[in-house]
Amino acid sequence: MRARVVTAIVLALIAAGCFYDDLEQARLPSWTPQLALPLVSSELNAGDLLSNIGAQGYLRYDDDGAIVLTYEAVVLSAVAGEVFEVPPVHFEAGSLTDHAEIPFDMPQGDLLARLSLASGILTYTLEWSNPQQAEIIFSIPQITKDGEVLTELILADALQSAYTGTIDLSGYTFEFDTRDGRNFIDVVLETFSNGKLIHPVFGGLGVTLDDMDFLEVEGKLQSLHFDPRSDTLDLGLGRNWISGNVVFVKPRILLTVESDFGLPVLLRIDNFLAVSNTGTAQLSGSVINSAWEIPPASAAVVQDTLNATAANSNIVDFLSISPTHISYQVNLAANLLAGQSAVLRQNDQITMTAHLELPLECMIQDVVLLDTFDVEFPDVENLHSVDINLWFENSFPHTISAQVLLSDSTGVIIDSLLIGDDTFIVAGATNEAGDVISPGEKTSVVRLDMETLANLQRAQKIIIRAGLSTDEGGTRPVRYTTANHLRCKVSALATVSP
Amino acid sequence: MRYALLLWFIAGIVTVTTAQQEMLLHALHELPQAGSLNPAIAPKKEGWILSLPSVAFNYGNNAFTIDDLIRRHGADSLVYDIPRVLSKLEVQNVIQYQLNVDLLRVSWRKRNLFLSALVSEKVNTKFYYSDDLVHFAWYGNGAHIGDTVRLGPRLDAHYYRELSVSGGYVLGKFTVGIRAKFLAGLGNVETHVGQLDLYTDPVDYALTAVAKYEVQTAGLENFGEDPWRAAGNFRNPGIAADAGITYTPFPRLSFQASIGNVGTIWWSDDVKKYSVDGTYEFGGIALNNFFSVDTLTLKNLGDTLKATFLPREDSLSYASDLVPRGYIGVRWKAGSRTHVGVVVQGEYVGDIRPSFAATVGHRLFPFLELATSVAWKNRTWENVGLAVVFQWKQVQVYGISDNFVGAIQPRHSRNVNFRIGANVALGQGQKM
Repeated sequence: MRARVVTAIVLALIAAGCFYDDLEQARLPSWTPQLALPLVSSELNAGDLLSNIGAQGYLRYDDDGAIVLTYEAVVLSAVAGEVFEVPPVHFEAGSLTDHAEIPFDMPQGDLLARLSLASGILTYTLEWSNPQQAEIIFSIPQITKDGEVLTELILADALQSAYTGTIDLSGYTFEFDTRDGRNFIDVVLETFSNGKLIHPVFGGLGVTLDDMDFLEVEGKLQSLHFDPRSDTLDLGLGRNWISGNVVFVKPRILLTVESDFGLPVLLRIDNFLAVSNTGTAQLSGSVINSAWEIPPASAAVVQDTLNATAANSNIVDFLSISPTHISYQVNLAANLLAGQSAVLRQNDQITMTAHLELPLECMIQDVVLLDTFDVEFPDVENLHSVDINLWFENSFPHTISAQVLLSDSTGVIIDSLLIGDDTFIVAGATNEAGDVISPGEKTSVVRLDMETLANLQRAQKIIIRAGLSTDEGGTRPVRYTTANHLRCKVSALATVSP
Repeated sequence: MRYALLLWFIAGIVTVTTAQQEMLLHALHELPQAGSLNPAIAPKKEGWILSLPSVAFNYGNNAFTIDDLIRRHGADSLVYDIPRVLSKLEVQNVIQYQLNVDLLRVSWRKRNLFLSALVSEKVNTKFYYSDDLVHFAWYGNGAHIGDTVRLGPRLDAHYYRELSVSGGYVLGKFTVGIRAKFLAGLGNVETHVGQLDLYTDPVDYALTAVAKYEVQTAGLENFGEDPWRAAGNFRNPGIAADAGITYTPFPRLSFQASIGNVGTIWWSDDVKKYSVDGTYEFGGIALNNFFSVDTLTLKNLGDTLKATFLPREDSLSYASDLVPRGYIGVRWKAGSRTHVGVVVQGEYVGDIRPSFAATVGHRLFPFLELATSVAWKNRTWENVGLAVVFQWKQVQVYGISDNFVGAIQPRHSRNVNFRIGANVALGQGQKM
């Protein structure tokens, strides 16, 4: 009996144990963990926010902490070699005995006293009708090198009736005879036969001077006109600007010329234009519109400056259109008072540099910026909702508001997110001088619900429309200094469904 | 009554129980295998006993059962019920698994002297994890804002071969026994330090992770490349020892005490050690370059993470200790066929983790003995043990489980435990 009871109990338990569900079929239920993630933590200064100011821009910090947005560009650079050229000279003479006079005419009628060559080729051909054995000395006394006259020895024999020679003119200096408004050099031929000077009659002489590159020229030179110089200065600003104004209170453009031209130079700046997305403005004023004469340099380089400020130009209005770049054209001419004796070297150079200085003391008046990004958001199907927490501590003197627009592939706006109420970055409080005395702080929460997340998934582009404004609607100047910063912390609390 | 008081006293000091334990076997002195728990438990009869290969298996989960983990949802679907599991978890929890295969045991007794030898394979795996780890995985760090979440799990796993010889002697009312074990380590994974803490700042959700980890492994590649060669590996030697004593003040009453598994394995073959020690704070991406670049790169973040958490690796040999354990038992012969007892067992894993059981055995027939127990193991009393010992002439066949219900219905139990095997008394007419 006891054995039967025990056996029955054991069998019942084993039978119960054999009743297994298929545990492999078990699945996870609805599951919505929350992930808290820091996204952004930064402290930004003016250098960070104004890092995209073009290759020619940089920030300068004054001793009092003031920030000066500065652009530097070489407006023009010209060398004398561009505009003064020595033309080729070709001379032919028929019957002659021992002398020929070669004219060396310049296109503009320059009367040259002296010409030094960096390079050049002289080719001559001498013909005679009675061949005989003789020594002919070909020389040009007005062409010397290191005190030596240019001389060639021709050994003629009884069978030879002509000779062609080539001379490298590198380093030679010409000293011209000038008369009747022309420049001349003389060829001298001396012939010896058996040691005795004879005077044969030559059938012809041809001389060609070519490929002459000058080092220095002295004489009464005519005017030199350079091609006009046009260029642009990329400011890197204002690209996304669609409305509003930024009024800089104390901007200036400083133009500096350095010249070692041996001739007086005359400059004229034309079409100094600020170009924005919506229009242009021309810089004008007494200093800009008048011609600018640079005297000839002697031993030292000549330097001169031109300063366009709010006092002598319309530079404030010129810059208030939020230009993306500035374009300009400079006309340059040298030696307008022609006929005076002067020296011109091939490497004589004139350069003009422009410094556009924008001290960040300004009024920002309802500026609206618009920027568009192509986006491809990762799969957000598993996201139920996301709370984006934004905290900003701003000691810059401007507020920022922002609206994020989502558009689909056809450009249709499918959703809009307003960050904060009116502003999400509050301006620091300023004193009468426009300096920030205490930062503004604000926390905002942007909730992305399932519908917004789905729209994010659909979005092909996001368009950020940001508004900036300084104190009192941008009617009172504020000052940006190195003490300004923007601290931001952005975090997300996401409810997900893995 | 005295036994009940003792039980309650022990229950009062016990807070965590996680050990791998064979409780009911300790009360079955008729089986030579009881000597594995206390080398002073002597065979009852003189002569030779050959134990055929036997298997002892133990699975313990001190927090939840499979039924806690998986519940029926609706008519025919099953779902994981993690919140229910979480409600069962303590701060630290363990899931463990042991498998002992006794390949061959020989026992011998002559008057007061008894000896035995045993060859066995042992696998011992313990996985420690925190409730924070599960809570973090299920609810995310959003549920732990402002808290330091201790994630670092630990895994200690040993696989080794044991050759042991033991001897005991009866000295009047005392019996003493010792066992020497020669070990061959075959595989090991051991987490020495396992700290991985994550703090989420309540203001800006800035994350601070502290990782201090050291994981030692040995023999893993051997098994991947050539399991047969790995199984015959004797290049990771070890030694261990057991010692025990029994005291029988009266013929019906005996006390037993033992300490065992005190030993070390020196791992030098196929060793890989990985360690990480770093603190990483991530408060968000810095935007300082954002306005001057078109593409925001996370490369710097990735490089920092890699530099911080890329484990250092070396192959230096190391030693790992076995998990020492001790037994204290009281056994009372209530009649010629009945015995009752109490067993307390403890393992040392940095602190002592005890278990205890009350046992009753009764010989129903000359050929059948049944025993049962109630044990506190893995934080639950739901451990009703059952042992069945058949004996016919020289042959003894047994099956033991400290959780009989768990052995046949593991879904409902935190513990699954059984041992089966057979012994043969050698010599004509010899009985055990």
